[in-house]
Amino acid sequence: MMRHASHCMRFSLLMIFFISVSACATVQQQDYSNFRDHRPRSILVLPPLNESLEVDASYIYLSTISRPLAECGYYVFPVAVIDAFLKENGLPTPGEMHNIPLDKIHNILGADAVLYVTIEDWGQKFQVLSSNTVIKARARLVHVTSGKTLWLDPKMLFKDQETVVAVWWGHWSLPWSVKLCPQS
Amino acid sequence: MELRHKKHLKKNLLLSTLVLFSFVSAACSSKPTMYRWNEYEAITYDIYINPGKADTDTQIAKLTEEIGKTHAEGKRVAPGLHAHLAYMYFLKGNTSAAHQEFNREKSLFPESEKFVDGILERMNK
Repeated sequence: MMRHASHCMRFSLLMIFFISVSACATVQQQDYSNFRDHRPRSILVLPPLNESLEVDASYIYLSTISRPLAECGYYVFPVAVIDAFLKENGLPTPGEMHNIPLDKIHNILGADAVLYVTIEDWGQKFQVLSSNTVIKARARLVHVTSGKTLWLDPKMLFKDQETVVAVWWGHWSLPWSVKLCPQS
Repeated sequence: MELRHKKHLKKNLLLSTLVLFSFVSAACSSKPTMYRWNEYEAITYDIYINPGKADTDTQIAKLTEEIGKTHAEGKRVAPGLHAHLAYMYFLKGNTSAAHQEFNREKSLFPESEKFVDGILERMNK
């Protein structure tokens, strides 16, 4: 029962993500040429940088991100193992992990792309359907061997950054993401 | 102008669908997935948020059970799960089980080859 409740809680969290996304009707056109030219097979997700006041934000977020990417057909490196591996190798914080040179990522892990996420806000008040947990984040998917950004910072997708909630997780499901997730 | 309006409508329809889907998710009956995620996702969460519930033995037990259930349901083991289990075995000092699980990860997901081979090499030193 407890387990069920915990799953329910996490699904509710996801629901909030989706609701957040539904508020984002001001999406601009993305440029997909880099993505089409360097379509990754594997994605390394690093623990997000956390600019919010919620101390657990990075790792709560990290625990939800493998599923949507993997279900789109990408190989997602085991997030907790990678985190432990990097910590053991002298990179104790997400900030340091985000500074790993791409050639090292290529040589040691062989990832095609790296996902860098920054959580800006966690737990703001939000008036849609009386949910009061929201997440504001920006993210960048970078091609490892060329260094090109395959997918732009989502913050740029929103005209009104003050009031609109940006959650990368849910962006995967927005109309343009059909190109990123053809199986869905 | 009309075309733009149509586009807008289409976007709204899609967004509405997403919201609808979110409610389905909220009811804890998400759409069918390629992989079984239950314990792997829960463990990743617990490691950081409820570390008391995620000691190495517990993780090994839960992930092993999860693999059994996954096969029984005819689903695929999620990417990363075998490698995660392998790492837990490694922490317990069970290097042969760790090897076996890392190699399973590699055979299921060739994209992990460089990562897995690097770890196996370091383990053997």
